[in-house]
Amino acid sequence: MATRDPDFVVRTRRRFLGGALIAGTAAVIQACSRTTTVAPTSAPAAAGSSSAQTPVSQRSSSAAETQSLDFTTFYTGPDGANMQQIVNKFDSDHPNIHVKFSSPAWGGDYVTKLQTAAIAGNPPDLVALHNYEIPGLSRFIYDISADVKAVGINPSDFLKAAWDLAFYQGKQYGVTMSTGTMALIYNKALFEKANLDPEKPPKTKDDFIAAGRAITKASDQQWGFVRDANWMPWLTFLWQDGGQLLTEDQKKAAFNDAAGKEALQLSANFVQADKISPPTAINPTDFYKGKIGMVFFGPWELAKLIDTNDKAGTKFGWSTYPKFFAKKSAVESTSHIYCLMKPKPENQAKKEASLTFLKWVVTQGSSQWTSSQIPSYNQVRDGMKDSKNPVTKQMGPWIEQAPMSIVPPAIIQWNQFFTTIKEGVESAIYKNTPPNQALATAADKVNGILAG
Amino acid sequence: MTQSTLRRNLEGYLFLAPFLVPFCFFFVYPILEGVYVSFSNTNIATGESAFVGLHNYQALAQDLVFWHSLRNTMIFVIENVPVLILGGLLLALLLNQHFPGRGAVRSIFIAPYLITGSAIAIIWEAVLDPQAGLLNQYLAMLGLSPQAWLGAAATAMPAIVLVTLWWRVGFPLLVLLAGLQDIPQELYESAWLDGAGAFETFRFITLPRLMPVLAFVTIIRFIDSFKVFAQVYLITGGGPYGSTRVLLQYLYETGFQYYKAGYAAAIGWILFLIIMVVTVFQLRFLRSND
Repeated sequence: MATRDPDFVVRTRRRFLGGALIAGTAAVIQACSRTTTVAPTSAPAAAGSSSAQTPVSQRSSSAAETQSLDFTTFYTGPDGANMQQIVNKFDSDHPNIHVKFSSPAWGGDYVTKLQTAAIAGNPPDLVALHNYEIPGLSRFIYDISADVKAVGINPSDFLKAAWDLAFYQGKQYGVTMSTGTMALIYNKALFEKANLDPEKPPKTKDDFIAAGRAITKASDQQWGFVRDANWMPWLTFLWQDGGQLLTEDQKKAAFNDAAGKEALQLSANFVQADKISPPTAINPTDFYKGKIGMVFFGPWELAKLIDTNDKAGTKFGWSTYPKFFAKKSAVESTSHIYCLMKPKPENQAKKEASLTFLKWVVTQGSSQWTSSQIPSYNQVRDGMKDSKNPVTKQMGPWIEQAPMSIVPPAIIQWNQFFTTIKEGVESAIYKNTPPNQALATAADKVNGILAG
Repeated sequence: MTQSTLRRNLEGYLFLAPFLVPFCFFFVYPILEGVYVSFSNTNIATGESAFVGLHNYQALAQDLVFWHSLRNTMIFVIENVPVLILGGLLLALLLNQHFPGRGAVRSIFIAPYLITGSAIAIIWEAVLDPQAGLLNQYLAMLGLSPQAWLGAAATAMPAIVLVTLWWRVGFPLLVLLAGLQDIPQELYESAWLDGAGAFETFRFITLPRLMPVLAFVTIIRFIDSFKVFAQVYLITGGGPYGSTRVLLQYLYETGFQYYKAGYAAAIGWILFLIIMVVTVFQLRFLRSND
């Protein structure tokens, strides 16, 4: 057996290690390098988004190639299926752009995912946001004030109140696809059992409480009304009673006034005095189990409600939000704003493709979205009453309430603000804290949060 | 270290490099960065990051939500660790006996440990549902009134402890079972010949022999319990009205939902210090009893 020359072994090992080090270093450099070789471009003629202004070295691919866009939203359930169909339609009409639609999470976790992706320089190209989520992400989102004009999105074609929701500190961060107020959802079968007219859902505070009392059987865990902790009815009560969450300059709490206290007393009474709500928090989606008389849901639940009625034989009904206070016609609403996020490095061709999709989806695409929300595009919204879509046809209460919609304020501290007022409201409802005391404590905390 | 020593050891360092380089990049650097961030006003929404000295730590001292979250964490640790250790020990003693299908029964008890937190949350939300939950149905069969386990402050944390017991008991069970099987059988035989009963053998043979394993499991469970997050965040979200919000959830909310990364980092370091102090104290206590 041949023996190895020790020097040879050492030399070979050193050579191997040296080679491995060089190869490793090269791999790291290659991985860290984001500049790609650029093919000749022929960018779409979208004025105001001139590809000539972007250094050639920053363009990662040719606009003539198929652009693949990541469109990330919080749409789950029927909304997700609906948007997937809308995206499929866009894809089939636009061979040069492929949109990958996804809904990875909802609520705070959704924003966290976007934020971490943006910090890493690899966010989705397009995202759906609520108006109050824009401030926290604004540095990662394109200001598209000039771009929307350039691609021909005309502000006058949209509901102004909805259009304005995409603005933050004077910059336009997106285009509002739709809004959707909360509405009264009720179980007609429980109404019948309680000798209430199932075709006459409550329209006033007194009717609502009376219906709740008639339906409630606490010993059987059957409740007249169950509130959603994340869509606090207190907000709508506050606004209907003429109150506000914040002062006009958005620097101080304003909910700690007579309207706020009256609204909170009403919320607490549902549990403590009227006893139409459970003494502990219950998930409002338990409504589908058939032992809850009334809840407030947004239009995103309508498709599921209709489907459950059709398949399970339930008798769920929907109606406008009762008028608990007479000072203002107001109902809490959601807002879905589509924004373009900035990758690192910025990619002009993708931005142009994203604008093409944005324009299409908020105008043409929104015609199918009518079964999920109330589009802000006038032409589509105005045509909803004549729609043959079985879900859209049932959207009457939400269409009627669209002008009353009020959304939370777009402030960077919204999440902390919301957590604080939510805990204050719940302490009054479930821990018998006097409403004035609960709101005073919450207001103190909120003022501290707003002061930074 | 002289230059010639360095040259002579170069190969060694190169062999270490595949571990050392990622270790420095992914552990040492983030830790140092975390220390700096805790002394800054880093905000991931605005992008600002300026050195603020001890301001975050001073603010924490006056932050009621922080103290409340710390209190909830301590309650969880105090309730959870003994329950897990005793539960694990009891199960280990039972599953160390010879009976048909022992392997399958062991697997059943250990299986939940392998399930992800999100799946655990779905399972237990269904079990604890006030209207259609399995637990309330059993209570009803016994003639007891249903409870809103997750909706009331008094029962939410015990419910989380119950979920954690079901989910995490597999680890102490597994380790203690291995510890029990390491105890020589001759010791028991000799004790039985001397007339020792079950309690005496447990008290004077099993427990002392198992003590190092018990100490290890206790320390690990303490550390794990201080870091409780997934089951709380996914099942109660910290509610009702903050009664189950734990420190790690407050850290997450502060860093990612309130965007205050500097403040969140300070919470993280406080949590680290608490865990370190408790662990050192436990180790010293156990060594002194050795």
